[in-house]
Amino acid sequence: MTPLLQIDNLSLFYGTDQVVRDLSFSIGRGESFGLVGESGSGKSSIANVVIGDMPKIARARGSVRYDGVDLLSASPEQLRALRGRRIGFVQQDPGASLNPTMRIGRQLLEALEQSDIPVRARSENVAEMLSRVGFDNPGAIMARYPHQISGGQQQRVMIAMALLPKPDLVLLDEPTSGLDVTVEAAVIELISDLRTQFGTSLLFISHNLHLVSKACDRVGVLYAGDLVEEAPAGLIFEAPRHPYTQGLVRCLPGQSAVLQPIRGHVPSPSERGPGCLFASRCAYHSSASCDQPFDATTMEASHRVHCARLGEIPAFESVAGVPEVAALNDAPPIVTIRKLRKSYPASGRELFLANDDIDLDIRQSEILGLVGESGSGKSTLAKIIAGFDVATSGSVLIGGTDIARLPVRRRKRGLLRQVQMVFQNPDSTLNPTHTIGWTLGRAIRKLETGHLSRQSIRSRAREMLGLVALLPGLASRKPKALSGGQRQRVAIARALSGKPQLLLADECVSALDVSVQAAIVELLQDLRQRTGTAILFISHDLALVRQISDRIVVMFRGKPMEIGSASQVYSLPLHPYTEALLSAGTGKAEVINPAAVERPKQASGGCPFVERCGRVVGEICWTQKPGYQNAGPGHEIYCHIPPAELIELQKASHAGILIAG
Amino acid sequence: MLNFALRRLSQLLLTAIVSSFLLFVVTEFSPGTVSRQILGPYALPNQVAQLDEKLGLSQSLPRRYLNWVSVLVGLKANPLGDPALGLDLHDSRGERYFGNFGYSLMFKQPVRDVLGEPLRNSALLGAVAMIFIVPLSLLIGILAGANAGTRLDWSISSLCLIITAIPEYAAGVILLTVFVSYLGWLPGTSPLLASEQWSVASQLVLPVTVLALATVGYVARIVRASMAETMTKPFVRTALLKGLSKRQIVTRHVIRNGMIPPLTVLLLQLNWMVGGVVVCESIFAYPGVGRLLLQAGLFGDLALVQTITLLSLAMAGVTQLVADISYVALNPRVRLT
Amino acid sequence: MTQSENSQRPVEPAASGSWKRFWPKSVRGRLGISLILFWVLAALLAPLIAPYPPNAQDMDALSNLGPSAAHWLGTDLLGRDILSRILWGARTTLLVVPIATASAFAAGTAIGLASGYFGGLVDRVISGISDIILSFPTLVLYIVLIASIGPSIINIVIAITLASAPSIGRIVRGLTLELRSRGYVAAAEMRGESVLFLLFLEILPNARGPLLADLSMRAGLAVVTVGTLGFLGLGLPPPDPDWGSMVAENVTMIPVYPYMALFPGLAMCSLVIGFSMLADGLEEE
Repeated sequence: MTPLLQIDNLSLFYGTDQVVRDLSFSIGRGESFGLVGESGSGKSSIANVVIGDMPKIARARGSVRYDGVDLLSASPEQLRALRGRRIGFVQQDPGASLNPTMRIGRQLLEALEQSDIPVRARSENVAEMLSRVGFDNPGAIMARYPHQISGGQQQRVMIAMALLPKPDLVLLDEPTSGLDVTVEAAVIELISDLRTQFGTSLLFISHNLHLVSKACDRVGVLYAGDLVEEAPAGLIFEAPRHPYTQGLVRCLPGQSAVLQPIRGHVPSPSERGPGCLFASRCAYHSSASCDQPFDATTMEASHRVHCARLGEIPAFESVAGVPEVAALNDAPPIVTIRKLRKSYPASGRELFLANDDIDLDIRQSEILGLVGESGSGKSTLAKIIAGFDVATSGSVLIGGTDIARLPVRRRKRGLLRQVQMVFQNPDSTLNPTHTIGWTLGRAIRKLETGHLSRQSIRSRAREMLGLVALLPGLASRKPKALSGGQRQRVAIARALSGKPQLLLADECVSALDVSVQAAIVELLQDLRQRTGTAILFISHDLALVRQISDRIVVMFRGKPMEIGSASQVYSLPLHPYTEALLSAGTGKAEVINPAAVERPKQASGGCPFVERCGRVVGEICWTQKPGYQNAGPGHEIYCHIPPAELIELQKASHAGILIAG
Repeated sequence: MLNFALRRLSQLLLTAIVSSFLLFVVTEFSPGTVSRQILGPYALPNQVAQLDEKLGLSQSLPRRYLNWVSVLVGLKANPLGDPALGLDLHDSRGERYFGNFGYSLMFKQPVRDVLGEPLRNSALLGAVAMIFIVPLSLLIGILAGANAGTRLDWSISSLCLIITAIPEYAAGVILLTVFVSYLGWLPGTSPLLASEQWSVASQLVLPVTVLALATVGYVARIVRASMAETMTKPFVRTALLKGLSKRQIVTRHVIRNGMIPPLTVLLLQLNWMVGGVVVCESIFAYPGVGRLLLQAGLFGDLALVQTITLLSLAMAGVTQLVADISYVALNPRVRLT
Repeated sequence: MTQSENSQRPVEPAASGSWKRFWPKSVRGRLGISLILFWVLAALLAPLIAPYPPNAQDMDALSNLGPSAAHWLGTDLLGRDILSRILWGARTTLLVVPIATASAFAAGTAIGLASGYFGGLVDRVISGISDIILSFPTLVLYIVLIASIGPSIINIVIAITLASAPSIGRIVRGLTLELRSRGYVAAAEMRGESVLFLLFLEILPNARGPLLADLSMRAGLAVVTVGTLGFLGLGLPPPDPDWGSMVAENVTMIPVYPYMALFPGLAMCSLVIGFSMLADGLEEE
């Protein structure tokens, strides 16, 4: 039987830049194929080719056959007919993919316009599909405008839209980017469910190897426009063969004890030669065999690897295990947070609590990880410490000064020096009009003690560049000439120039590719060792936080749910919320109440987590705030259920899965 | 909704008070005072001072403003109408009535009597111009924006750019040269009195064209930019991926979203057209308020200048309100709080 | 800024500080800047290239007012050479316009930066006043102002500043609001930079792209304004030539001698089109 989608030797050029090179893969009927790649790998360009929506400057070579039709030479009319009826597409950013001024029902009905279903039956069809993607009340959803539903619901609507004409193939382009982990897990689950129900083929495109391998039968790894490895999903983590895939797996948080970043950077189109594109970053590179074009090698079990020296590449050894556990830090606290509260006026007379009576210590030279979903108040906490926001009540003591209500503009130089910050977006963290040297020089001049000559500022700036492993020559460059990872390094150097006691890192690696992310994490750990700066590492990614932190705080709606050392929280996640977060990350069974995942409401009176909690014990959870319970040395949870009982409950539900399975 | 309306109304009231006060202050800067104008250039300073006293002009600025407003809303009689002054100014509507704008010294008549006819003429000019401006600029803008990046778009945009850049009076001159001087198809002036040679309608052609030219180009460019931007939105791609045709995509998804930003501009353009009307009426000797405003400004007829400006401010306020309401109507994301 | 100059600079394609960087990349932008440069040269060289003094009356020409070998663009009713008056008129326009535009931009940038950066009460007061000024139809505002304070270069500059500063302020405010949330501004705040440093060294330089385009558009509008005021009799006092009043003087002669008003009108158009095209080109970049 011919495959549904067959791509042969596809090359794609944007102007003179080659973005995809000699790509071949196929997707059989009912099969799901995942394409993984970092930014610049050309994965979205491939999606554009399949749906026949390429930018004007693009030129494609090779063949893309969809059920016998060559898409590259198809007429616009043929393409349009295919799009409406046989290929579905789910884009990233569901919020922007829905027309903001049209009711959801009408937008869904449009998807059926090309179909043979009689007009009268269409509404019913839409309603049925909505209920299949998990809406209890399809009629109500159809009457709404997109902004009136949550991000996760919007993506469900998009999935329903793609599936409505009963297509043979659905393309998913980063369908969960921007969604919280628990919502992401639910969406992935839904996709796998629907696939088995409808027998649809999937082309799943993502930067996230975990997600793809969870949702797909086979996985292709893209690097700079080359398909470097193609393997059954199970093998990608177990036995990756290409040096790039191996590197990628090694720098994924949660896969091994220590993150091992891939050095170097993805070659830009102008730097790409005829040979292996990974060569510049590969430990096994030998110019004799790697720098000319070569073919991919097919191994057993439809495992294809594009590597000239495959024979010499050692088999992948998983360095499984847990990150090194730092001894429980008994260092004195440098920041003491007590009863910190921040509220905003919300609709009506209600208050929205971004931070709800937080008590927390940050100890000298520790890395404290702060995890939570969007809206958990983790960034608000960082903003208050940094002085970009002021607390409603409570205190943040640093060196005897309360800075909870002291905005950054009113802080004295001595205080500014003690707390510095690294920001999230690498594109806007450095001023594009100034050189790197200017930026660092300015920070050194304002934050270092004593008067410095121009000469010494310059040499200090180079020293700082060296500290973050950048070449001193970069000092004369503008940020535009730097990659995202390099910019983030400069930002770290800038923040460290006054030797701060505390460095706030708010999602500082979340915009970076995993290989670069691993390198920054490594750098932060190294800098902590060398400078003794404490780091408050804020992220939504529990695995990443676990990798870098000594202690972890899990936040939910402004309240720490669980505080403990990294190993305590990770190996024995007691709080139901931590448990849910962890299971969403690894794809284990969910203990959260899935219907409530997307209901952003503030519980009044009771436990903030009660609506989503899978372990509610009774009325008390709704009406009374729990207190903190000690679960071990330095390990606290915010729950009514005693820790010992939680352990029992967890054991029981795992057993339940075993029985059910 | 009620809350929103109340807040907008109170805002409008505040704006009215502040802007009328500003207007009052600015016009009070004029070198020749009302008394000086009445008495003529050879009057003695003490005569002027005496009249100032009688008219209440020697009082403080806020006081004078209050007097002015009181006359306006009908709480006080206009001191100029006092027969004892011997100015021979009287108002058939009585001494006190709401909307008393005072006397025009240029015409020696109540402002309301002076304004009636010109106001109707200008409204006619504006209305006819709008009939052409709105559909034309939308059509051109949508056409160019939906085909952004094509040769058609480039030609339309360039043409609009050039047309917009031509000042009204220059456009007037060019049109006069071509259609009046060389071709002799149209009349050079528009007194709005039908003559043997030219009907009233033919007299409207050139003023309307001048008024429409600049505005069409400008609005079309804004519509184009907004449409072109909307075309790149992910939801347009969604529509494409549903298999809709380009026409369906543009009419169903792009136009409504793409019209939200230009709508405000289009309505505020009314406001801007007031300026165009002044120039236009001056070129063609069209008997409207614009020309009247210019004459009054050059003559120093304060009451008339103030009244016409107040009217245009009121119009600005109303259009702003309409713009806000239609913005809400078009955009379901805006919540009325 | 000193540090950057001290360090050795590797060759960077974008940093080749030649004038080519400022040459617009789009066709329309190039056309625009050429038109502007043409008029700037004409204004600078007017005393050298104008065939006659601007107010000299040629009695011989009165018998033949139209374009001739002696008067390429003809003369007006008083026998004054139109070409010379247009060239000299360019000087008036190109003197008033840059001053007025610069002054409007200085004021607009200042209020925009302040209301965007500080927000709160400052923003509400500035925006409130701006809205009120903006609710006056521009030309009415000019008539009221000029009729009150009298026509002169200074007063025209004041009127243009007052009328356009609020809308420039609005644009700057929007840009400031967007830029002030950037990481580099926050980083500068965290190292204790002064407000002026933040506004002028961290924020403003990054707003220059859209501001330059707006600057060019405003300059075009100022040309129109100066011309229109001249046309309406609110411009500079005669006999100095300015394009607007030249049109006004001769507009009644159009049925007989159309060129008298047409040529200065065309001159005005070409300069305004130049500024608009440049603005368009800058916007695209």
